[in-house]
Amino acid sequence: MSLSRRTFIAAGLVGAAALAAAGWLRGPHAPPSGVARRALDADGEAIFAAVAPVILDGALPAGKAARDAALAQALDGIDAAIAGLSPHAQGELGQLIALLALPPVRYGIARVSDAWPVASPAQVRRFLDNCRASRFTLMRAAYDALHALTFAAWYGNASSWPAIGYPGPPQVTA
Amino acid sequence: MTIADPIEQGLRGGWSVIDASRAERDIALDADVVIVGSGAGGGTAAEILAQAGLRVVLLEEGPLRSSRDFRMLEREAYPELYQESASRKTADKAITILQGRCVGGGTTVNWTSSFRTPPATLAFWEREFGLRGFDADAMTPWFERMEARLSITPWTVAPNANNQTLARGAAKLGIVTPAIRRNVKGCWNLGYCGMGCPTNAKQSMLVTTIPAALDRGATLVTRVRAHRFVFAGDEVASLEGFAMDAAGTAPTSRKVIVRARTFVAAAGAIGTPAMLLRSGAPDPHALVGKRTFLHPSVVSAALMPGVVDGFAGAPQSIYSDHFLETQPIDGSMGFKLEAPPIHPLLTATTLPDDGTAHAEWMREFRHMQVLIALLRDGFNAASVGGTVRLRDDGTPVLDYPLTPFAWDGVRRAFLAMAEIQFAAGARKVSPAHGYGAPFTSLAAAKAAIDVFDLRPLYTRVVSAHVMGGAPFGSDAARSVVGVDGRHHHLRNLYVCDGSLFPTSIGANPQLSIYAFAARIASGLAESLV
Repeated sequence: MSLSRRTFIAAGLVGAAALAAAGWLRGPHAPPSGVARRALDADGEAIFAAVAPVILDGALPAGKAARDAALAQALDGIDAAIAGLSPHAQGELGQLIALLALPPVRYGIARVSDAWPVASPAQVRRFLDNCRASRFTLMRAAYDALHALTFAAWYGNASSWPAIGYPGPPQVTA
Repeated sequence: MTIADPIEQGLRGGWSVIDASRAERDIALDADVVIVGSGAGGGTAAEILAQAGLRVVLLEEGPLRSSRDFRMLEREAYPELYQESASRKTADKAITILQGRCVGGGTTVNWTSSFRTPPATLAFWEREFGLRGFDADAMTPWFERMEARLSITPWTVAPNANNQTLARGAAKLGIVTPAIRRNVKGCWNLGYCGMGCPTNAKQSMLVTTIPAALDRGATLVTRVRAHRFVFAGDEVASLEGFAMDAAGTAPTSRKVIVRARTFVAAAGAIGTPAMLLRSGAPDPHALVGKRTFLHPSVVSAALMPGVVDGFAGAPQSIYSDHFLETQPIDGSMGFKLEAPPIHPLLTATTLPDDGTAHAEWMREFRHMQVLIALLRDGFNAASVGGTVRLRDDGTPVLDYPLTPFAWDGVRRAFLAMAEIQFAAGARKVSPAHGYGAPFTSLAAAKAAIDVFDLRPLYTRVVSAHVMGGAPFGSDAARSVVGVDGRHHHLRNLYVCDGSLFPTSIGANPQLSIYAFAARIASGLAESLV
């Protein structure tokens, strides 16, 4: 499914007003994890919580408990990675998150009919595919940001290394 | 054996080092010379000027870190030591730019590859930009001087398997792959140069020229973002900067003011033009920030039958200039071939695709071989590079459109890399483009690459070399500073970093920056004492 140019432009035109209204337009969303975050707000956490398991499919451990724990660590890593970005980059990412969290955008552009916390993996998969194949660089940049932050958090974490055979840095005895 | 930490020793010995992020009030300093930026240009200038007996203040936006802090962990090194957490992007986000942001700048985190400026590049500058007195003969003493200073010598240890694969594949095709010289002394061959050398073997600015300058009484101010030069007539009167916050990501309102006789801009080829733009420096021909070059680079991953372990061993030891020399320098875009270090975070974020296909590649991490092609930009009328602009918040962004001319080079580069990887015995080759679907034969790769839909944010493009934007030259209508590095319109302002170059270098630029900075700083020192 490709994005229609008209919906995209419409979203762009309403963008500023929509962002301003986002605070009260948003439907109820799942409570955040309760973890103190440095950079991610509730919407950001909901979106990354929906996207990360799909991006990391095949890398996540088997078994619900291990998987949940790994995903929680990934979210912590994503939060830390965002906190390390420049204020400008954080601002841009915040705008992207606010936009994707708006139900009309989530549904109209991202084609995710359910709120992010309950969106199915198939819906999220379709969203990611639409983004990266989009003819709009903005959407491809969105995919790039989700890809980079999720994989940076995952493979920056030593607990992901045994699965890929990376022994970690050598010992330098001082 | 204890690894001697020259920074720790120097601080104990009473070096003048100020961490501006810890300052409780504004900072005011006086100097003979203030240098903005502590990388290859600023670090080189600091030593030369301090040794001439001048009072030097050296400003750096990033933190002072040393070998004991370098734990070889990507998740720590990238946010700590790189501009924008190693994820600085061009305006349309199509190119990721790796730039250092710490004491020593790029030299603290580069991969130690040391090339003299290619004679063909210098000849092109003379022919096209009228730069006389900078040919290979004239520059030789400056290369020799910096090679001696930074222990740049042939690397005699066997290349790691990642680099060996480049040599093996190229040899099968009759392509020559010389060895890369490195600026190391007593290197442990670990492979973590990009995260700060944990053994101080890399002869970066951090362990050579900057300690020498501090020993001579220079003052280093870290975590300060230089904001602008303040002018009085045709002179710079002072420099105004802001202390960064404790995390080092945002400036605070605490000011750092430095008054000096002479000002040296060495903030890199994005930072230096940005500083000139923020200051409103005279720019009658609108040249500042234009013609900024990147060596836009593309990536090809392969899976080899044997273990490669590309994270271990000197990251770059073999290269090929074959594809720089297959056409005239001002013809279609040539490219240099090298191998990069292969670490999990950088690899995973560079590989296209996600989900199970991505996980499958990562499971073969130890068998992965990677090549990069660095495109030589700036030598053809169709290759004008990018433009540094200022955002509303005063931070710089490089607008670098990828043109059909560049994509043509990208396509040939993907093909050349796949050919070498298959010749070396690769089972699969995956150019970092689109979904990264791997090819199992050269014929299949060729057929696909020929029709790749190359475009921004679909084809992965990276850069670790930023050059240009404040070019030097004798013609004030075509250059920002003179051949002595002095600004054409501000008599006590000098540029002394990679911004000077009127094109890209066509090779990893550290030694070019060292040599030109040494020449400019030596001339400046002579004129001041």
